[in-house]
Amino acid sequence: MIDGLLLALSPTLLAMTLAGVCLGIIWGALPGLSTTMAMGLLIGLSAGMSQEISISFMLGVYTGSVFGGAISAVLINIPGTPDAVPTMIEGHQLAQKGEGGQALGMAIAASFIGGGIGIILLIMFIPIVLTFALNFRSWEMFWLALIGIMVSGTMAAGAMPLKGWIAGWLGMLVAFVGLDSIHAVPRFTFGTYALFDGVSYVAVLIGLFGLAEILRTLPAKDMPTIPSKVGRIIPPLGLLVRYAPAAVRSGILGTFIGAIPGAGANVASFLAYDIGRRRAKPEERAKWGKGSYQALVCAETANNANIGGSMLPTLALGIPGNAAAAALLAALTLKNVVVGPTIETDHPGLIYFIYSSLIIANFLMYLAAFALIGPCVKLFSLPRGILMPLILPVCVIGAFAVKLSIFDVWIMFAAGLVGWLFSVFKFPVAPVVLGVILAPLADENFRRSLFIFEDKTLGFVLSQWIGTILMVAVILVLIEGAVRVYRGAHSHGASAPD
Amino acid sequence: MTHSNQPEIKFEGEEAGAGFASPTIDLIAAVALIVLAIAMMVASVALPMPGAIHTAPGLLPFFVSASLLLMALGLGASAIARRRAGVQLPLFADRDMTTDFRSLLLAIAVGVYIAALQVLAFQQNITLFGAHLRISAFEPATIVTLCTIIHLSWRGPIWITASISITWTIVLSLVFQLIFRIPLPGSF
Repeated sequence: MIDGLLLALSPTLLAMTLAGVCLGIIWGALPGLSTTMAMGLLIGLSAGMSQEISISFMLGVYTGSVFGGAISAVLINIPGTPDAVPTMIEGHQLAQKGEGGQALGMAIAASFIGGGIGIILLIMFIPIVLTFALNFRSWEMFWLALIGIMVSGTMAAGAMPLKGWIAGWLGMLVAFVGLDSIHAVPRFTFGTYALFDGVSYVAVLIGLFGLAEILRTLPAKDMPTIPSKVGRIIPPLGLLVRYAPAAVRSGILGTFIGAIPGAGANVASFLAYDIGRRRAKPEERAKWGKGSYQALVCAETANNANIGGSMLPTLALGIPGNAAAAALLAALTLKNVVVGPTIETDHPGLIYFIYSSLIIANFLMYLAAFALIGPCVKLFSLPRGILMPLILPVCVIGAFAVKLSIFDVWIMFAAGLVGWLFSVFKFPVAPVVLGVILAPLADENFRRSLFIFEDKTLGFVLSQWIGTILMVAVILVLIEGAVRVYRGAHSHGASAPD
Repeated sequence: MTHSNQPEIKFEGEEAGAGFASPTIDLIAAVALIVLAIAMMVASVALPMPGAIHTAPGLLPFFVSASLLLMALGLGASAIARRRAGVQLPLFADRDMTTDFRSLLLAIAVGVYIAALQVLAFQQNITLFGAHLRISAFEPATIVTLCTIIHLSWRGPIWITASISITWTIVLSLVFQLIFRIPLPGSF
């Protein structure tokens, strides 16, 4: 751990983490630019960096951008990232009372505490999960990959999990294109040699989260009003101490939600916000929705704690905790880092370096956030008509950089169009990414396990208890989702206009 | 205890905007997905099978396509049920058609930009203050595309639009070539 910390503290890596944090905060603060979009675009950029630099930089961006959403949420009543919606409701009410600066200060402190709790729990639980994960063989890995895609679908599409699953399944079909990993048979390539290598998931990620976002938001007309001044930022110590129990509870909750594949910062902040309201004292509960510091602390702690949580399945199992973690996984794969149960033997010391980078990124986020509030307010006055087009060439370079292939740029373009169409048809896009990344894992392990079970009875297959539990979990997710679709369809029908 | 004057805060899924569309839209999506799923099932079966059926390259794609077909049928059935229940939302209930038309125009502009990078590819190596740089179709194509898109979406003075486009293109070109050492598209 000490070696990892010293490496992460080297001047170059420290500077790159700080650059990532600052870029992340500014990116997250700008409405319409999400954490996943930042992570997706930077995969291509990280292709030219060393392994350590790219990890430090991307973890910095991840940490910074999750907090950054709070700045625009509090000051201009537009959540920079979707998980900042509860922060927007409370923070903007406080800003209207002239306490915008203090609300931001509380959000920064809560994000720092949340990040810290997430990292502590990650360090505590990863050895347990890794030990357990060593029992996972092909059969278990297949079901785990399937759970990741299904839960992501369930979480992404709210009342209509069916659309989330469909999105995940479409992602899987995209990933099947290319040479099959066992027999090297070309699948769905239609004679196109450029497709023999498969569809670049980096290009798909950039298209779905970068170009699609530009196509969706650039033509929209609404523009926010810009605040003239922010006020005192550093919150009083008494206020911090008063809400410490709520912060710890929400931090633990946010971490565990992050550890569920597919459940991201959005689920964490909403759930922590709701549980916080239920558990608050009556006088505090009365302030909920009208500018409550406790509510703000609950939401912000949970969404930053989610970062540490999302790293748990990503590092220990190779199953991304959310779409942003999927982007990080893609960047690690580009550096030939294969994460999963054998990470400690395949890449000795790497896991400690990742812990150290996360700790440093969290501290730098705390310091940089105070310094960047002013510049962010100035950036809000930049017209979206100027800002969004500037991201376009970054999308093109990002998609091109991985394999230096213009074909990948076309893939990115196609993915962007599909992402925009998904928004028209109200399909979520995050499960597509999970599908694209996890399908090769599912495919190879499914066929391998069928080969192993060739002469075995059904009883033997079911006696593989971890696999059976995971299979039951998939069935339960399916049943829960089907019930939700049924209820949703009927409630939509009941509330329909005549 | 709930307070009636509190704003409604409702979790609608990890991605805002995803969920129920108008029944007609969901029905269109279901039909498209059914066609895709059947095509993928046929293509999966048509794949060569070098070994046993357990390791056939088309095995999982077939199962995924078959389950996609079931899901698409479920989506279609849900859309029909909602339609029968009286949901009569307009085809694109919450869409601004002007915005969507602009999105399409923007997509065409992006397509032309990428095509220009591919078709007009050239390279000219230069040395500037000791640094080796490569000028390619990326620079002119990006400047023209940015100028066009910024002008259409912002409508500010043309000289500011041009300055921003040129400056940003030069910054990207220098940063990616000199710092990240990544060649840019638009060259050979």
